[in-house]
Amino acid sequence: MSNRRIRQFYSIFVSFAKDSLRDKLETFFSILFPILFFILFGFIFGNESDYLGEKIGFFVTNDISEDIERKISNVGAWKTIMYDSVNSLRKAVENGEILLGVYLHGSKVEFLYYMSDPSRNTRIQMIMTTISTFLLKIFNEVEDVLTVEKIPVKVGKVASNQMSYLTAGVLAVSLLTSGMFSMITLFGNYKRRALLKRVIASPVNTSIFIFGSTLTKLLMSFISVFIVILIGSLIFNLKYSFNWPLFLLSIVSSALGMMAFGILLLILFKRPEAAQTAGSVLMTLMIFFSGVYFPIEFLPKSLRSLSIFLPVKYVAQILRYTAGVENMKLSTFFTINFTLLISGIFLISITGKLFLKAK
Amino acid sequence: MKKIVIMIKAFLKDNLRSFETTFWSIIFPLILYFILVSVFGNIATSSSIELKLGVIQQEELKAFGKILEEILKEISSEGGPFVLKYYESIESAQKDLATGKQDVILLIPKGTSAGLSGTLLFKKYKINNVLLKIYYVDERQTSNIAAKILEQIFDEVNIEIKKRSDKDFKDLEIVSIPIARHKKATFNYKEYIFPGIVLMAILSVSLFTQNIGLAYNREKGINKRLYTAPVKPIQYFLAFITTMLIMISISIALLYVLAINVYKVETVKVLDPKFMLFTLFSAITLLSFGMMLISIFKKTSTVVVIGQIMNQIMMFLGGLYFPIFDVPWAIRWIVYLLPTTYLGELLRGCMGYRVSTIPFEYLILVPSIWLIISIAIFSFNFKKVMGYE
Repeated sequence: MSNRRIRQFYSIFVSFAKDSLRDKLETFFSILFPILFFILFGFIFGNESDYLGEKIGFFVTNDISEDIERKISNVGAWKTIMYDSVNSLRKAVENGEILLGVYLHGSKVEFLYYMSDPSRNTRIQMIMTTISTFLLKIFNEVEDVLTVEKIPVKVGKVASNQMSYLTAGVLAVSLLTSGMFSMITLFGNYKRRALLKRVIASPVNTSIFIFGSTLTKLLMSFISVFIVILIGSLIFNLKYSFNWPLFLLSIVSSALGMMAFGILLLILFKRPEAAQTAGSVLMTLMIFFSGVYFPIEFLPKSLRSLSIFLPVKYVAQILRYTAGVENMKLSTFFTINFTLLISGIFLISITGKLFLKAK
Repeated sequence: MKKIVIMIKAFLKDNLRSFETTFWSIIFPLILYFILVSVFGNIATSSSIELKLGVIQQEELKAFGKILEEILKEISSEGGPFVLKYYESIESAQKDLATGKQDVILLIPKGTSAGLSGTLLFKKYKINNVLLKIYYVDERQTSNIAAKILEQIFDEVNIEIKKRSDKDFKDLEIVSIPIARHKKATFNYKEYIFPGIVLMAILSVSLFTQNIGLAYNREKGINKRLYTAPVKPIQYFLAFITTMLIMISISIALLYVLAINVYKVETVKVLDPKFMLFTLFSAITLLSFGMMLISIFKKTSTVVVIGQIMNQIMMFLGGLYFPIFDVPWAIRWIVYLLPTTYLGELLRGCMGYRVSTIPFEYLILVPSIWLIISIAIFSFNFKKVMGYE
């Protein structure tokens, strides 16, 4: 590359970087939006995966109540609070002081719970089953014939936690938003503002223009990813063991792949506004159907297959792998990266040349 | 009055002709309603969950060991949560667990049949019980849940074995008492989520359609051109707000059609005059909230960014889609500050789906305070908003 071209490239890179950082909308969608989403969902989903430590209230009137009380308190799977009347137990449920009230009298167990909360219903059902089984065992002095040993398997490099697993998925969503929307802005909005025409009229080499502008967008993706990791480490105690070379490769290929996705939308919808709208709808779909926030296995069968077509699912997989929280075949890892990288480079260069062709 | 009607018609045409406005205000709430019912409706009922279970049987099960075979058959039959795959070795099964091809692995060790038969036949002599191993991945939510379900199943099997062998077995009478204000004892997510979607549609108009429209008109000098015509600012403003209320009505009307005709939401609940009155109250409060933002922030791009931030916060921390009253206090205080938290509870309350224990008066009081503050700030900045100072 000659000195002149290097200067050209540098000028384009700097001007696009300034433009991107000064553009509130782009800065928001590329950097702030993923951070906002991460913090919101981190707090919402980060602490509800287990019912360990849930407050369960008991009111026991049986003769052997002391023995039951002691056994219940010793389980340790939940925080036990004993009440002295059924009314106080009911009131505690109504006031949200306890998740579940258990009124045990004779051979009757009454479970009292507040029903209108879908996020708690599954947990409540699981705890009710566990407590019923537990009480039946106490009453009948059941000795386990079948004993179960639960063995957690470390699949990544590090013994991680659910929040770290979730965050790697959030990074995929963040790469999607910054990559996809940046291309819609670059080729859509700049074309509308006739900026591309001016570039065509200038002596700037088309490839250098495309390379310089894309690199700026890549930089935005990098900033977004590292801020999310930083905030995550500070607030949510993330446990990662990064394979940095593979991680950086994944970020580059994912960002380029997501940019390709944005370009595809632009080609399909032509108008940047329509492409932006389609992008936002796809983003919503990916949040719910790519398995980042909600397990795909819990979706209806008809919608489960939808996740196969959503690139975020694959980006999340390679990011989890390079962050050391997930395992995958190396061949699969490189296939995903290669597909994202090639589709990104191919679509960006083709579209760039198409948009920057003099009429 | 005639001038206002003419302007309403013009604003309405302008909004309905804009693809983005129509999409976000009218079509997107319908799409979101469909998505949320598909995702959370299924989670709430959990009828079609499919979990992958890998089984390693280190011996052929005989005699009482056949009990395990029956259990595995039952949990993998139609309606059972598991899909079974048998493995020859623990290594190959763990490999599939690691790559996500299996959610959970069950190891039935050598000597299980003998152990099970011995324990059941010679209970008095305390023969060692059978130890089954469940391998799972703690980080993966699905794997975790699968392991818990499996553990629970074997716990119940232990009880069943005792029940069949002990004639004095004391069964428990289990009664579930849901404490809720709705009359039916069942929970319908399609109904529960409806108020949240209605509020989301109102938010979309309040934070985007209204604010971008006002900012755009101000920035492009359309307002100034209107003032050269014989139109008073207040007439212009009234026409604009009425248009927004009409946009909200169209959006909500379509949601009603989807809810009643497709999702069979009880008409008594959604057509309840109280529900409709509180929806209007919500619309006025949130439109005012939007107006307050537009009176503080000047540029269209800033208005969009602030709108997006507030939209996400008010939707998710306002608990429009799932209750979030048990988030840590580091963030819970925001929940209690937001008007959407109270409006959501107010509308859900009309349908019998109250989640929190916030007293009813507060559900009116807090949004009313927001309404008053918003109108006060907006009125103070009215000239700035309309761009004629």
